[in-house]
Amino acid sequence: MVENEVCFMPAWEMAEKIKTQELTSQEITEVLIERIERLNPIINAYCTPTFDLAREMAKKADDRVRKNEKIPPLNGIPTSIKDLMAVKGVRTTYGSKIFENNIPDEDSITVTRLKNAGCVILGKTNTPEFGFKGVTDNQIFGVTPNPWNLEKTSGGSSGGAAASVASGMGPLAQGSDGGGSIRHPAGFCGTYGLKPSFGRVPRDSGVFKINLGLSVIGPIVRYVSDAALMLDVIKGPSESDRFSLPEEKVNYFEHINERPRKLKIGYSLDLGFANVIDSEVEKSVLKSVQKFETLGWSVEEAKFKGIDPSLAFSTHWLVAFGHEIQPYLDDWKDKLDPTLLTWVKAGLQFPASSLPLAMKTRAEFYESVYETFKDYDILVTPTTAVPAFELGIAAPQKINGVSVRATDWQPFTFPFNFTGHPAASIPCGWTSDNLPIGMQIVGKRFQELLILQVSKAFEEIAPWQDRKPNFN
Amino acid sequence: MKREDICFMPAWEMKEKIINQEISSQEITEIIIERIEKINPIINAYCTTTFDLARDLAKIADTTVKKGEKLGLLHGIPTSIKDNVDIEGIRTTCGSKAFENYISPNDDIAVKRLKEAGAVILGKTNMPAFGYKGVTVNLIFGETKNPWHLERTTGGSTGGGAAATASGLSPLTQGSDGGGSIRIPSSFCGLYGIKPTFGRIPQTSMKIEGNMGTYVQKGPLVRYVKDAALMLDALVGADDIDRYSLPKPNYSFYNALEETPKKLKIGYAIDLGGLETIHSEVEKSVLDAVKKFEEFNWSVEKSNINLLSNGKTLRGQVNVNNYSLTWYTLWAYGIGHFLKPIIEQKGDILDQELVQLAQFGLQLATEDIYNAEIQREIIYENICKHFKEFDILITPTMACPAFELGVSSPTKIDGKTVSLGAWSPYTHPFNMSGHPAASIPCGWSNEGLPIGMQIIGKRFDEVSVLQVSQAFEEIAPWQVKKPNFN
Repeated sequence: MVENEVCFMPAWEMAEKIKTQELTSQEITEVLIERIERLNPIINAYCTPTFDLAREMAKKADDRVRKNEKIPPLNGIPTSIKDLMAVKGVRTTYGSKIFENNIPDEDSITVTRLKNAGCVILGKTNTPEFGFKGVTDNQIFGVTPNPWNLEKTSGGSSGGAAASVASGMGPLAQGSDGGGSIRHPAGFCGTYGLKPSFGRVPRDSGVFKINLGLSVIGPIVRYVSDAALMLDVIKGPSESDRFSLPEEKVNYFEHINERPRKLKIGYSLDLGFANVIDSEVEKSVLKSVQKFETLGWSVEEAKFKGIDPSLAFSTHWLVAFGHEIQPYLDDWKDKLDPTLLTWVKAGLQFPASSLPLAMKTRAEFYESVYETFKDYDILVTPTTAVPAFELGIAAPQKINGVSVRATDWQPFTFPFNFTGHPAASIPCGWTSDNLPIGMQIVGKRFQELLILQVSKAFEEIAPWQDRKPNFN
Repeated sequence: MKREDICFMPAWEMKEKIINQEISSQEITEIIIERIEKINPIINAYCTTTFDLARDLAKIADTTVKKGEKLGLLHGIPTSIKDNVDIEGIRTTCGSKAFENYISPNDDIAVKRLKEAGAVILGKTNMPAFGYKGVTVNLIFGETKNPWHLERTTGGSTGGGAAATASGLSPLTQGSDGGGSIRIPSSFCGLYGIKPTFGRIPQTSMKIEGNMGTYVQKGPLVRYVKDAALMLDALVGADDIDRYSLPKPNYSFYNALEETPKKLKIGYAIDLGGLETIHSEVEKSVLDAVKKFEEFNWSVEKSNINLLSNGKTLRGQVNVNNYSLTWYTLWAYGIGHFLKPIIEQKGDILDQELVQLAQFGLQLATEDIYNAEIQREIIYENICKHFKEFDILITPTMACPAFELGVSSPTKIDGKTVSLGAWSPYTHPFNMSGHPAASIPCGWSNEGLPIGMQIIGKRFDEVSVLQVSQAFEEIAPWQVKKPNFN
């Protein structure tokens, strides 16, 4: 079998082929390992490969098939784990020098669930230090460039995850998203990424004890169905997370092909506050959202009450990073990412009244989204205001030639961390420079299945997987 | 049937009788109104009555029955609403001078759901300002008295609601609980009250509760366990307005009470860590009560739960020296920043003890809050450790029976001088953690005051809490005893 065929095969198809013994997990795993060995030096998606572990798990998966044992849902499927998440016995650095040699003695819940589902873990993917920013580089492993253009960023913080999936170095990647960290890199790298409802996947309290209700774990994949397959495995309550949602007895994968007959889609290019948007992105998203009309769904522009939650979000983010990292400052300040150090210092300087005020703005913003969402089933926005920007900066200084604030390139993602709504990024077009453009599809609370169905419908009308990055 | 019997009838039985047209909702409503007019001047349970609204709702309920139309879960049953919950067109003061003349423009989600279920709303019940403390007194309506002993407190903050239901002034009461405000008055007034899992009943606005938002949860106070299940069925389920609200379960709590668990592991604790003291009568009563579960062939064991156990984070060990202080820190911070604009405008007309609490909260640094939040997670983990071994946790609800009116906390328990929070060490951990927790009457002190036992379940497992509660109600019923007002 040709390398390209295996490496870019949907995970659900791999699962079937492994089950019917058309392919073994070991064969797939070896082909992928070979590709990782060849391409990873170029794109630096994996920071710590775990090939021994992968080979062991692939063998177990094949044994299950051969011995006619019960086949778990992801039996033999290669997966990557973001380096913010603990894998037992595997170096887990959180992208930080502080944890450069950290080897956890326990799996985090999501990893346990993936292992129980039969996954083959290929390695840990690169992330900025503690996932603090929207591009992927750190003091240990360096930068992860974009597979579509090696001089551009992969986005972040799940940049390693998105780059690996886009390059055919694993069909499934586990990501996490506290402000857009699944959706930005998915958008920048031309992959599909889904941030589920807050609480859908129990959080891993590994690094930060407190998450201020922002962060969720979710999949980054090349095929929408694969996101359903992976989410089915990692969702569900755990006593360890006091915000985890109760069991929902619906299998997303089984229902993903059901297409709603009627649907009201509201789109917005500003969410009521965003200033400026790259003209190619704008054009691509507008053109894409109109495609839903061909399914008989209504599409109209949604109006938002103009509340700008940017400062309130930054307050949450900086205060959290400030206080979580403060205990390490004395010993480690010289080894921290200099930008992170600036953020931490800023976070420690907020007066006590800032966070309550930010929480109030968050509540007001939530209510404004609630008011608008009453009229729609799905909201659509661009994923980011720009396509992938150049390496070496944390944010572009200009959009469409206009000078912007550091948060202005990503006004569409963090609002839904603030609100907790599930949101996906789906590839919807290409810039004239051949960079992917992402469209964000947002659902009401608990409506991951509807997002997946809408995404699947879009994937069918406007498939993107034929295009593959070229490394020659 | 005597008129008084109707006032003390279980809600589920009322509903059956209303549906069978044995008695009308209007008859029941009039009888209870008459009793409220007689008894309320003594105990001050209702601060605002809504008899016109009640009569309208009762009439609608009866008409629906007569027409054979679809009936609600709480069809024709009288209920009371706490005075911090909006009813359209009705005065809602939150027990504070700041809102003395506030008329709600809309129904709260809970009220909307109760109306949709056919409930008859008798009025608003008294509470301390914004529910800030565990006794019920405020500058508008004064104090609410314990129906079992008129010189004792009802507890709070749902003290008016508890006093009403204990006195036969409403079979159902809607309460809310951010530190024990359902369970404390249930315990002091001899009622059953349950705070469901955090998120079960949506808040109408994310703005109102501010930082206390993740503490507070609404729930019922009733005289019969089954009535709590019935009321919960009508109240639970997500609403998009509340980003923490949980999806509606695909089962009915009321129907779940048809079953009793065959196997169950109960772990009990008198000390959750650093207990200052407990009244000997309360301790004895709870220990006697918990043994009764062995009759069901359930295992009953002492739990090693300790909320002060160290927690591990990547920052190293985190100690919790005083879990009550953790709760209080976050509570004061939340109230402080919520009240700040109100204090600035009309601080002089507010309850000064409340202003002091707010000022304590306002001088806390972000670092204090952060540390408290981390401790909260450790406390949560320590509770979860218990639930790895057991299905249910049982503790006393309070460290003492109802104390004298006029103070916010007793200075002595069982003759021993104690610190301010010593009387209430059991309820607030489960506001920090969000676990469902109920208080059930389990005995009486020598003075004739009710004693409450707290029953706590895993997240989402109200069913076990209710089933255990109903089992206890069957072997140790308490409803025969009624307060005497003659």
